[in-house]
Amino acid sequence: MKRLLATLILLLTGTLVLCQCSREEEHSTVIRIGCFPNVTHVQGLVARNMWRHKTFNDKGWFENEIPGYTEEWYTFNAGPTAMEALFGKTVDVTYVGPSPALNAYAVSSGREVRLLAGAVNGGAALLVAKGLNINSPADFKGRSIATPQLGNTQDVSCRAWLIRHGLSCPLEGGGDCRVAPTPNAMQLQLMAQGDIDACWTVEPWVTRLKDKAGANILVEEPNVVTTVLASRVGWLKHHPQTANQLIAAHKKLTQWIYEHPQEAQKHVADEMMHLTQSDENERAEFEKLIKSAWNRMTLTDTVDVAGLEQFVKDGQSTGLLDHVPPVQGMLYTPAPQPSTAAH
Amino acid sequence: MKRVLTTFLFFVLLILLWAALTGDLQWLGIGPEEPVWNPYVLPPPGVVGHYLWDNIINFKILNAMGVTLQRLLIGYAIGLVLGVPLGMLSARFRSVSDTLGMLALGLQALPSVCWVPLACIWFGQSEAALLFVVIMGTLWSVLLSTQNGMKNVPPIYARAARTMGSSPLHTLIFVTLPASAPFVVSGMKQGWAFAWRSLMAAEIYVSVVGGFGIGQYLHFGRELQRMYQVIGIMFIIILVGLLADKLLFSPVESWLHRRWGTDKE
Repeated sequence: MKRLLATLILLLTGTLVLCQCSREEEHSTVIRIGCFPNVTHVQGLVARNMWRHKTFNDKGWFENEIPGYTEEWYTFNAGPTAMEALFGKTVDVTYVGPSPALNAYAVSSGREVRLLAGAVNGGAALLVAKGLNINSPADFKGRSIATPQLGNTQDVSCRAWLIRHGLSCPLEGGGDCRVAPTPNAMQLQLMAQGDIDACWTVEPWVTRLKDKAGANILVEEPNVVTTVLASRVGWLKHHPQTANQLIAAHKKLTQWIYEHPQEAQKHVADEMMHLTQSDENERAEFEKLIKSAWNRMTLTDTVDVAGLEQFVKDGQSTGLLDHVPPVQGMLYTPAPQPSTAAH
Repeated sequence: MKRVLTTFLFFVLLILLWAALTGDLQWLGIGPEEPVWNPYVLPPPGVVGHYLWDNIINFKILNAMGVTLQRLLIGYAIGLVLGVPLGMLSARFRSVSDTLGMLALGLQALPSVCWVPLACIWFGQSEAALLFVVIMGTLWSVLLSTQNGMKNVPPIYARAARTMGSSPLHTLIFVTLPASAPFVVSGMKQGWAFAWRSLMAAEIYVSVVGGFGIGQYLHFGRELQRMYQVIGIMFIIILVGLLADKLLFSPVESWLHRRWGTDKE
């Protein structure tokens, strides 16, 4: 009995020690930012590239706009992984699609995730492999569609679209058609091999599938929210001032990209080449790819609440989302600035 | 009886500790006011139990267990059917031992989940890819332990049999094989452990293939940030592993011990 008690006490101490090991550093001056190697993360890619090349007096865009802070960048394939990193406190802010952000918001009962700003609308599409006779939703019966990751924005859009058109696609398989989460980088090869019949993905993968596999675009939703800027409540609480500066810097960057599309495209191409470890002689191809992908998306800096509510409905119809607290509560309300508080 | 009670008490206390720290015992006034961990980091046992109960009565988990066990058994059986004869050949002929034996030694050092990227390209995201990974996990360890077992049979057995007029084939089947059985069986058990681990890794790693196994449930729990699902499935995986050990190997091992006169009773 004594030994049993001793074991338990040991376990209890162990757990309590573990609780103290937090990755939260309240006074850290490093902003850890996440983004994906997708053109729809254009603000992230441009800022990251500027940071890589230290464009502004040996600083990146955010470092330059937020004095006293440095940036650190992280790459994810799709939203669920990015949200995992947010929960695990390994990133502070991330560019991410609305569905994973909503899921993280719902899972944490509205306690953990806040949206700072909008980033990009559109840029996603459903593509059908070359030579397949698929022209309407009903033709997808018995077919398989790839999406970037389970529960990511395109995955939810795809499942909701199928359900809206009367086709079932349960997670466990065995429905009218199969939705197969497949990393973006693998989709081209699997489509070329005939393992998947269609693909719901984002730029630049849309243009790549179109150009390299001859896939045809069947559905495009140009006004749907594709990317937002999300953050952790813990970080926002400790850095309210920085958060405001970060939002302002993001908005300014969005405006800059809007005004300098060609320069921005060069940054995106260069960054994607770095992230995908591509060869220098592929640069022209990358630039061409990004240029044609560019027209399919719209830059924004506001959060489209109605669009998010649609995603909540879509997520619930597919069974990927349970109860979601009111979406309005997900928007970050900046702490009052000391200067404005004086008025 | 006292030992059983101690074990039982230990696990009950462990679960109570978990419940107290995650706020499941608040109604009794036990545990900290705010749960030490948020429920999305470490869900309370009640939520995990609820998930398991819901998904067991709607047969989802049982179906997934069926799919996983089918993959495991087929892959394992193929691994055995290939591994045991190859191991025997490798023990008998030096040239096979120098070639295939060395290859097995090298590949055994490679965790079979490393085969997943190639398997996905070679076989597509299909059952075949998963089977391949399981076979790669089983084959080499079974091959090596069979080879090892046969080599460890004292040569005097075979010589004695031959002086009594036993033909080479007869010697192999009735003398060498039974004599090497403990090694072969422990190799089979090791092969099983490798197969089970590699299948779980592969199911978590490969997104969706034909059927939906329990590893995929765990992976999907991760993607949707449902940690209660992850923990629930971990319990199921432990259960399947324990059951396989108790149902498949324990009887064979105790039979072997009896035959070899090494049982303690």
